[in-house]
Amino acid sequence: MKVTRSVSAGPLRSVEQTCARLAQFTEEILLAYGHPGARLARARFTAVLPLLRFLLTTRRLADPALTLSTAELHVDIRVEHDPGAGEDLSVPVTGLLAGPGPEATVGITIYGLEEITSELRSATAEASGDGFAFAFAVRGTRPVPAIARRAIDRLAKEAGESIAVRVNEEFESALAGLGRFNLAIFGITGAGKSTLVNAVFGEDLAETGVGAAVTKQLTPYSRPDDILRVYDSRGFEMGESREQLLDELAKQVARTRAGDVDDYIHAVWYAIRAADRRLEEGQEEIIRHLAGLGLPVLLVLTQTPLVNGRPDQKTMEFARSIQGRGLPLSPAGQVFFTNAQADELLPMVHGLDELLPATFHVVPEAARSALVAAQRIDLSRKREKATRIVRNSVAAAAAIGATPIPFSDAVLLVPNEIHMIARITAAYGLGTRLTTVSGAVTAFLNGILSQVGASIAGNLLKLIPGAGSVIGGAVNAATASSVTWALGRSWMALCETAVENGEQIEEFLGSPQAMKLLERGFTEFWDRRNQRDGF
Amino acid sequence: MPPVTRDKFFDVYRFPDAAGEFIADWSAVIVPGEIKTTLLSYADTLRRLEHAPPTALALRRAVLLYGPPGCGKTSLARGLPAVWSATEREVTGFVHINTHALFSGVRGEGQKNVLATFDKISDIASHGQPLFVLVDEVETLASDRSSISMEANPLDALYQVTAFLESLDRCARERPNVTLVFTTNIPRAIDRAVRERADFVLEIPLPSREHRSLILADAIRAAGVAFDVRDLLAEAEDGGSAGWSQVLDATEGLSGRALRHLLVIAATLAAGKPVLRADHLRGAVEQVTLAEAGLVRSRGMYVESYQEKGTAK
Repeated sequence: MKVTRSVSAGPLRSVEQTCARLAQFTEEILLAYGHPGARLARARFTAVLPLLRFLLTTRRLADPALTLSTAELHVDIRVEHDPGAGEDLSVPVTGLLAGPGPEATVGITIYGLEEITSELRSATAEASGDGFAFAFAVRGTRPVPAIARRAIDRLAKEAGESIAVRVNEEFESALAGLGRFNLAIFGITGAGKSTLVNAVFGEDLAETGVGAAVTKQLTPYSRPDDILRVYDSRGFEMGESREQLLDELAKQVARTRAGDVDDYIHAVWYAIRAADRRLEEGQEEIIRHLAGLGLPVLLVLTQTPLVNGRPDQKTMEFARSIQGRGLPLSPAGQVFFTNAQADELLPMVHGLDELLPATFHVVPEAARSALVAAQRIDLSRKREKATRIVRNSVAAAAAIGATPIPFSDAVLLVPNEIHMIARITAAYGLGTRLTTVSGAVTAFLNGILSQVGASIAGNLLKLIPGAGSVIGGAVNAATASSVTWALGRSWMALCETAVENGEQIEEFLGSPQAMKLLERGFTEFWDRRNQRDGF
Repeated sequence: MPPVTRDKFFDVYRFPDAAGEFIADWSAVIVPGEIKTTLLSYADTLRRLEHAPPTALALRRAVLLYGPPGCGKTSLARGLPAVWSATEREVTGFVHINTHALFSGVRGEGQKNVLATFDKISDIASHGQPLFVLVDEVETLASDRSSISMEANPLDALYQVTAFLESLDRCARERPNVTLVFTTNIPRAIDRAVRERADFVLEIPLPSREHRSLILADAIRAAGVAFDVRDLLAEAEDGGSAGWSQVLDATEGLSGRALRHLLVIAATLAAGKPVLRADHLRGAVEQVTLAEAGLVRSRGMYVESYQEKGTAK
């Protein structure tokens, strides 16, 4: 016996309402035809509800002009049922994957969402018409969660793409919030300036045409995200007469000051190779001149050899002789002993962890966030900032969680999470203004989803309202904040590894290591959080 | 002490870490006092002239040590950076080039090895810390181009010498903190161009009569850990006895190494008796001078070179 019945769901009032009505229709149809699996069918259907919600919300995001009340849904529910084929009413209904029962295939087609549901069709067993169609066997030969998972994987990809714009906006505003740190670095050729800068800030600095001070004397180099500019004194200490040179220097500094506070030179590193043991009169004059212009000058001895953990005696003597000259060095006349690259004679990288905090303290407040983000040797400062961001986002998520949010919103699309991810990434100094970051965020979200589906199915059911205990409901505050927390922490772990690898977030996310890290990280933090909350 | 880097072609050491053994070797070499002073002053001169324009002074930053084997050339060359580091109290590098390994019969290999080795030296030297580079038995690498025979892969040998000379020039030009030390038994076999690339040539001669006495006394003291050498040592330290004088006469032409080795032979001649006496030593001298004399003759090349310089023993 074949029974087909069409139902029009009418204009959508709300996602929840529509879903509830669809479930109700299914049950009614089955009951009307006397199918004993009607109750089971309803349970099955509620398990698929998240898919539908997901579709609807995605649609809403993709086209903000669309209101649910204008989207007409037509539902065609078709039941194929052969009552004669050995019904066994004694089989208990124990859950979603209940054992054998009377066979009945329920096919449901929902019209009205053609564009976004075409993807789904191939995933369903009983496609019919042009709408969102899915089918399931009441007897349980086809576990619905598997269908749901495949569909979610596909949809997550789509959804990720659709949020690209939002991610970029968030990320750009996070970067803008950081401001910029401008460092000038002086020292003769071979003083180890670039090795020093590379060790502290990474190697992706490129000469930039941006900014006022593009001359042969003071060349700005910038990161792709432009939160750091390094002005290299290349060529400043040769050629011209000293007066000309000092005059030019003053002009340069004045030029950077003419602009925004983000354009000021915030600090100067004056690099001298420890083994050179010379600070010439001309260099001394430049230091005094720079300090006279109001710039904090940090004197950095590069390539300092250590003996038993301390600079060798010759270097100490040199440092003392510098300090004996009473130069206006910041902070408090200090000389910094550093080595930025290890090799045979200088087997230890050292001193950068003293230079950096000292620099942090002498630069204006406004430049500090950018400095913390741009440097890559002190993770703890970055972590501190990122932890604050996560904490704020968790609080916000808990508040949002108090209002009904479908699953898809909670994990994927809540602006709160996007905001958090963007700000963490910016705080670790791992991104650019380019759209690649949104791809990375999408990849991450996909990673979470497939991992959620594959390895913590139990939690998946909890995460998907309707499949688990929270039938038909929203994500509650605890779930929302847990997801946010686990997301934030695993994203932080990812960022830290990327910093250690010296990679940008998007290139790092392309590696299999990153995906594994995310999966492990999210699971671990998720479990930890849930154990703590006892849920 | 192990080097910080061990490569097929060179070992890299860092002083003052574990400099003790090198300094001990340097101290144990008994040579005319001015040799050690000269080496240290030379190193000091180079350090002071580091920022001087190299061409104005025609600086080569290299010293060539020559003399018969076993007289302490290598020990001095190895000890120099360690002693420098200890007296100047600064971290000092030392690269000991494995000259024999550099040379290769495979076409083009030797040349490549030379260039790779000097690239590495240039890297290590880039920090500006003093770096000493020892090219031991430099004649292996830089054999006289004019005497290259046709059967010994002549072009390769020629390219190799050329690569070596170019590398020396580049090193002296670009790395003012490098001091090169060459050693050789056979100065005549060295390419004239290499010889001219040393700022000066320092002879490490066979020990004089007085030094022979000192070296033997030192060796006797060392043997004292296992044998009763009191009488023998007294004789050596006194130096006035006819017997000792005889030993000193008989050992003329022996290197420091050969002299020290005499004690091993003497101990063997003592045949397990706990006391080492002068006659054991004389016995050893007799045995060895014969052998050494043969050795000296067979290595006519360096004898010849001394004659040429008017310093032959």
